[in-house]
Amino acid sequence: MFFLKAVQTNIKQFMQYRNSFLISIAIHPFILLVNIFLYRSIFAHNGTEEIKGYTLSEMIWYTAGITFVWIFIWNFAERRISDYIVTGDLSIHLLKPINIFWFELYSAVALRITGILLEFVPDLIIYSLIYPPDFLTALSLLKFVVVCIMSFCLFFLINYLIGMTAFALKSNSGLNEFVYISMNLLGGGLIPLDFYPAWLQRVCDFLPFKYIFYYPIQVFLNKDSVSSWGSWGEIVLAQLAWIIGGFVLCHLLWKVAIRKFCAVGG
Amino acid sequence: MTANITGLLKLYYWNMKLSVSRSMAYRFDFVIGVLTSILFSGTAPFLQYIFFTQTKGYPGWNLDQIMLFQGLLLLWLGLRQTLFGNVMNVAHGLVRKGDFDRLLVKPYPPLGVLLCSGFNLKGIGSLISGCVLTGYAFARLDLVPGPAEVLLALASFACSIVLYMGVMTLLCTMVIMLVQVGRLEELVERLLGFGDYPINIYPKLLQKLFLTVFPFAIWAYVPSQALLDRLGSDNATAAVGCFAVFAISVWIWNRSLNRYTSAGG
Repeated sequence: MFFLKAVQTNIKQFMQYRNSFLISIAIHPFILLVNIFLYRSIFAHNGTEEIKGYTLSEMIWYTAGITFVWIFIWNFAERRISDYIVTGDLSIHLLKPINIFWFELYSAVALRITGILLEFVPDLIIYSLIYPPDFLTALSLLKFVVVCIMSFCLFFLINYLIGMTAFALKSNSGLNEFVYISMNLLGGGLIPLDFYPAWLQRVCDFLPFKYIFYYPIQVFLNKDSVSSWGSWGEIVLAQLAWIIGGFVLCHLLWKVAIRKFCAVGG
Repeated sequence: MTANITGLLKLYYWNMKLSVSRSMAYRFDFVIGVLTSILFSGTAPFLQYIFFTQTKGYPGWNLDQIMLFQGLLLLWLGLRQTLFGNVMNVAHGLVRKGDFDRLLVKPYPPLGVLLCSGFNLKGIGSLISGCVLTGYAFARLDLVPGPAEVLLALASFACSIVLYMGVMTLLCTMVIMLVQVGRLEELVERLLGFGDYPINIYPKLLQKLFLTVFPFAIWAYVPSQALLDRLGSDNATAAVGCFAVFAISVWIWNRSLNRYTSAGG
């Protein structure tokens, strides 16, 4: 019931700021255009069909894929949790009949459903008109949606953990930015990880970030390395493992932190 | 006119002092913010490094030259955030609460007061990264530019400031007319982002546009070309374009101000 209400409220809010929504649809093609010019220039200068296993079309759509993944995963859980802790509003939430973790998760899901319907779908259509994706199939799109849902859960848990650091740090905006940069840099949120030197790729293997950006975009690009059901299943299982680990960590840390929580203000 | 400019510069100086005092009140947060900003500003040069080590890069640039371009770009981004980083926050705050009306009865032009309230110390992170990267590129290129090249680079930064003041003026005009501009700022940022790459990567028509009507090339491309001693005469149009954009935006601001009907309260 709460979930449906949250979705309804988010759609209403979105519609209230229709101009923002229209501008957001206008914004994204600019990113694509810059990347079309950039990669066309690089590929022409290199005089090659492929760079690091990526064709021109794949490189351009990799950057589009980054935008799509962001649309699927974006949420403010870290800011909301730290605000509750710093302002003392957490004490009010603790009195509510719904657990704060699920409350935040439902809110984030509601926010993303609106984003997917009103940003991802129009963006995919507009982008396809500008630069048709010759690699895309209905099945690869469906697989992409599934791994993106898992990415959303993983990103939500990371955000939730960052939010909880406010119990100790109070102001955690610096830490939040640090994680955001690391996630982009080491997760393939700027450029495919295949471009990195081997030692840096090895570092990325030990972090969950590549399961948020790199692998979902590989699935979107329908790359040979992930196109079989087996390799796709491996990605989903690895995502699931990170999600379970993150969930357990959130749960344990919450239990420790909440015992020491002292509300002031509110 | 001269008295107005002197007064506005004094006002800017006072706002700057206040902004520094405010930042120093939360020193730890400020230091973390600057460190994060330095780290964040390193991502674009890192990307360029990857492009130029894993591929042949773009036509007309090698790795050291592109590092000079990135260094100057970071310097510019830091400079603009330091000088005008707060303008939009102030404009939004004033218009939404109805406080903008107070500016209309002050002895200085309201646009001048808004532009003078933009100082933001957080831009210092990009400025530091820009200085370090530019110095590194100078050393790698073994570059000793003559006084003329340095003057040209400084002049292009001065023109960049004029252009950015024009962009800020247009955004402030939108704020006083529409009150809630939503993601318009993001749209403008995306457009300005075309200037974050050497214009050689764009088709000829866009190259012309970025050196005339939308002279975004002025903030990194032109100064880097000047320091590399390969500035063409066609780049002079970019400087003219900056002043034209500023003049047009001030004209639009004045027309919009006449139609301003107040908001907030």
